Amino acid sequence: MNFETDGKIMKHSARFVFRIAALLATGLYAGRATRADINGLEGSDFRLTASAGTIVMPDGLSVHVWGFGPTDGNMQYPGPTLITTQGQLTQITLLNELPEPTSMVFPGMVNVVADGGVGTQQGLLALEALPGGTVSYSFTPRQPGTYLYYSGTRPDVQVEMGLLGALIVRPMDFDPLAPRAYQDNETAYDQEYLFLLSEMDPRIHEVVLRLGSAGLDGLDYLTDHQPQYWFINGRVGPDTFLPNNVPWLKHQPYGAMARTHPGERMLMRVVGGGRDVHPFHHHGNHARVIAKNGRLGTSASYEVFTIQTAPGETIDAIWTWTGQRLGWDAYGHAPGDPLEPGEYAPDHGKPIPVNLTELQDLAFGGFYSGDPFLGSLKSLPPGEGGLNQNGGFHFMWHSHTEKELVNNDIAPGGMMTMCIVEPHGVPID
Amino acid sequence: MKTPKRIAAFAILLATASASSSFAQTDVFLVAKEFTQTMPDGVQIVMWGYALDADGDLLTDDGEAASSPGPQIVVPPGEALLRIHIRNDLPADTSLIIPGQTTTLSPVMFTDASGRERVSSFTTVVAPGATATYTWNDVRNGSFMYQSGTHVAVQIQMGLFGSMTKEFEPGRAYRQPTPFHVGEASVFYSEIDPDLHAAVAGGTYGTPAYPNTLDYRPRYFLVNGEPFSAGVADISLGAVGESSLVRFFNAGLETHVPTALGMDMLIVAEDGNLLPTNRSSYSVFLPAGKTKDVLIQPEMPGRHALVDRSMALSNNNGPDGGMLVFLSADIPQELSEAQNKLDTWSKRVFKAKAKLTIAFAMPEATPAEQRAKARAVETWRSRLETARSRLSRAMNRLVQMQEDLDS
Amino acid sequence: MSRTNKSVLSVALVACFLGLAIGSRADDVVVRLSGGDGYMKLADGRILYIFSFADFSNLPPEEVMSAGLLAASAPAPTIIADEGDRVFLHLTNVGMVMRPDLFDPHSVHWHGFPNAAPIFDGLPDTSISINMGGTLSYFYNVVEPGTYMYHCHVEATEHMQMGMLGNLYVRPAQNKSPDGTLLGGFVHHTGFKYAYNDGDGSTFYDVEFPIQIGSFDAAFHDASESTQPLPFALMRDDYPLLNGRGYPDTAVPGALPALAENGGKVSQGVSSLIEATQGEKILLRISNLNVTRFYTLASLGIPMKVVGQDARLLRAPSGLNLYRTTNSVTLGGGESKDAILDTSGVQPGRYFLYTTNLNYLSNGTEDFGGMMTEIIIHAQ
Ligand SMILES: [Cu+2]
Ligand SMILES: [Cu+2]
Repeated sequence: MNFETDGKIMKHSARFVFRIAALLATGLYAGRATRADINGLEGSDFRLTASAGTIVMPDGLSVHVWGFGPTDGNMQYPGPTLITTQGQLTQITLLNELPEPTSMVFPGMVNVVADGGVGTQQGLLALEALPGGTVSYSFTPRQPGTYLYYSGTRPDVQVEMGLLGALIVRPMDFDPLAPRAYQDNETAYDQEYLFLLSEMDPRIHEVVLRLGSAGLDGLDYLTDHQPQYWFINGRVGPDTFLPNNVPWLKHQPYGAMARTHPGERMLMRVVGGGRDVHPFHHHGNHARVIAKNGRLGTSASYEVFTIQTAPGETIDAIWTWTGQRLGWDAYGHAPGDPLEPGEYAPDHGKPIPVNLTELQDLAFGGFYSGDPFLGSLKSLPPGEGGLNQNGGFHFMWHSHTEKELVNNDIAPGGMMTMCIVEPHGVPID
Repeated sequence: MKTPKRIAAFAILLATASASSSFAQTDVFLVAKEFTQTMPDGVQIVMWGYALDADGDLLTDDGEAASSPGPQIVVPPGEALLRIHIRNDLPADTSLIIPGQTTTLSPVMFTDASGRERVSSFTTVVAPGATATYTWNDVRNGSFMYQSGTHVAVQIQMGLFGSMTKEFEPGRAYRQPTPFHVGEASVFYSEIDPDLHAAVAGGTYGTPAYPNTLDYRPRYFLVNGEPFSAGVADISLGAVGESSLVRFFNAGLETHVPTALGMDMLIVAEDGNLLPTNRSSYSVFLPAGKTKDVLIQPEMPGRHALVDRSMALSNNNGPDGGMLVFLSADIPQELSEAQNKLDTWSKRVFKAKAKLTIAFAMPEATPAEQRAKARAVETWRSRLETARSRLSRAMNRLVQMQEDLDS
Repeated sequence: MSRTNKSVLSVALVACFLGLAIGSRADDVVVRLSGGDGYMKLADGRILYIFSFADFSNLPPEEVMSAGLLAASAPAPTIIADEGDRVFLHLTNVGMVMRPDLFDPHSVHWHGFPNAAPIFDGLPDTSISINMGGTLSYFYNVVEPGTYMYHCHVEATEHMQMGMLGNLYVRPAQNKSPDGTLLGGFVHHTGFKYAYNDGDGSTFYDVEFPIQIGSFDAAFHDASESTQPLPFALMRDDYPLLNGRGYPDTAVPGALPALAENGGKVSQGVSSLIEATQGEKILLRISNLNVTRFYTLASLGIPMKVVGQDARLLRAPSGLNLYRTTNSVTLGGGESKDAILDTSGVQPGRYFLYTTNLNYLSNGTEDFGGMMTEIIIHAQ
């Protein structure tokens, strides 16, 4: 559904606006708890089913997807985020309801033992479950960190189809009240978010739906890959803004909106799930890279403003925003006002040193609060703004391969989400 | 047809031969030539590659088989000089460069229709049929690629590349703190776009039918010169617990991400330069033209898949191919002996137990029967005891060895 | 060796225009940009319609509207600031002369600005952007040195593919240390320059060059110019560029000649010719603002020492240097690397900086072009 006006594709499609409005209508936007946890399955004994389903993209196209899901739940894209613990024997039992054999591999895990009887076969990379068969894999993670799992059966086809997910290993001494990503104080965090990046070429999905994987043989789709959709946590923008588990995204349960407060440490778990490298640019501030592929690197940590996310690799980074040294008071305080927690005192009470332009010359963003200051809401001309409920500072986090910010020709969309720095006191769940 | 080639070669060889009185190890004789390679699906690809000149004189075509990547050039530790003598049997000018190794480059420029100077070759060319010598006087240790420096967009893709390596000292790739290694292997990635090869071979390159390489789309993805298919040999890393140096090369035009399933790699160097810190990783980010060195100490015997996670895993879009290879680790000799002993003694325990059971069931109606039974029971009891104690010793020995390996 | 570069906004040149600033100080820098359309010439002679910024820092504000028409430059004017500067940037949206049907706003996104506030971040969705005929003022308290970049963030895929991209970097306060200051064992002298506040002179350089990786899809630009639907999905860049030019134009010193298509304006002011005298250290401030893919850029014959990335010194909090020596760097859009090329011991001559994604050594379908430039080392 391309709206063409004056030969130009209309970017802010009606559907985009509708989806944002839906977000606000759910009322799920602001919760009660003070910490965001990554949504997933926790434990050490996971029962998954691989099956097929259909996801509907914001441009209206249906895409046939293969995914992992909890055996008692829906197929999902990406598969469930499996959260286990360092040193804990972890077992994953996979039932295959797909029309083709499938399997799982766990890079970064050593000595993965596969078990299966009737209904399995030894594949090239892993023990596979035949259609209807069951296979189980077990391993004991030695080191905490962010990992991913994916199909080890024709991964060029099956990962594209959707058979992948994140694997998070908590450190042995994990304390939910004082969480750390690794056994290292430099990895302590207040908020934690997953950003699993992937892409899809719908032509491949269409062929697999009709003819199975073998249908790709005479075509050049695998080598001349042309993705049209780019995802964070299995959703394209603006669906990424929606909360976890909204009922109308049955197969895409994971949101990607990150929220934090000034001065808090946010753990970004960034995962390259697809086959392309993505430059994940996080507006707002630098992030400190503390680990790569689940191997702690705090002694050699460095800062970036764009996270280079390679296929099959993971990066853990700590992101904090304070607004310090802006040269003006981000809260818009008068000199006599009290300081906010963690506020950079030398800028306290300093005004913005430019005159902001007359309203009639300005275009306003939906997430603009009407005022430059954190926590402040002001009215905007009718029909403008309206998506910023708490006067939070919104920063777009997105692929800087900007081509990936569209959904099959319609912009904006694709591999983008928001990070919101909420004023102190706004609850985050 | 070959005669003029020989004459030209002879004339130049006289000039180079006087400079190098002896053929030291650091003199390498290569012939750049066309050859045909069959892909796993039967498709024939015209390649350009290098062959080692059999008699080291570059005078005659002795039918040496060219390959891509070309012969591995190994400069001995401590040796500073490398001379590559090359005869060009290709239909185009070519040259040799080694990015990362210092030498004087004499770029070949041409003037285009707008009067602008452009480079066509990063260094002096050798014309078809001619020979030339390329010299590096101060060879650094590390992993490098030698490759064509001429019309690189075409010639590298056609296959003109190979590895050049030098150890810091025998058994150690780089200076301290790089550890010594026991095993050594190369993982050399390259790509083939059959349309480009067909255009070059068929003379349509540079015509409207195939104007240039911009629309490059590789369809074959090779490790050490061949795409994966059933029966491709594993890369042997040596024994479990031993450290192996694996040198990664990417002569392709795209980034690849070799990913090891079930083992960690310690990334120690990039483009022949020691990295500031060593990082343990299950994958290696390998952009076009890059070399990286890793150390692998396998923990488990058997085969470990090394897959390109950028999903170059098909042969012309057919399944189970591309940039896939298995790294295999053996069980060390004494470990395998210990394991054999364990097997032997557990079999004997089993046998003794079975015999003892039979002995217990023997009749004991007569004194003779009673004596025979007692003898049999005594015999198998004692044998079982021996077998059990030997089995327990073998087990302890094995556990000890595993612990040694782990530490 | 003198280098005049029209689109480099030198601090000295612009410091006297204080314009809309409130509470201006001596170290205030005023940058005045237009945002609009224009033309550039690709290395194979093809004329390309573009959107971009142009530099009018030395014009009175009221003249920018008319001077900015069809003035778009490729890349956008280079912005250079010193650590400690207060930068006031005034963006005037002059509209699209060739696309009167378009009423797109524009913005400036200082990519990588630390602890940014949305109001000056240029992201249209989360703040404000400027409509045609208006001027929007941005304020930056510049406290972190390094190699950044800037671009318009409105309709980012389209406006960035169309060319609203430029170099931006900040020189460190260490440059202004008093003569004779000891930096570890390194003695600073007036005029010495460093990539970062390294404390030990390890990022010292003699000459610096911004190198911005880019690439354009000519069909997309043609579609824009002729008011056709924009091929987002089919976007495939066929003109790889460094600082808005393909080879050999990259190696042409100074600006390319003015074009007739934009009314005789110089629109390609940033050369990528890298020159140094043997023994000098060259700082390459490499950034990437293409919108379609990653590129690997290699230096042939002179190794690169990567000392910084994403506007940060490559050093761990423990003080451990993470500098690394390499032949090539790989950057996606929105990444930057600072690489020092030490030319001591390098024979005088001509060297090359080129992409190892070798099929991008093309200007369209023309060979011996694309993403490459020359490094000339002069004898002492
Ligand atoms: Cu714009
Ligand atoms: Cu940006």
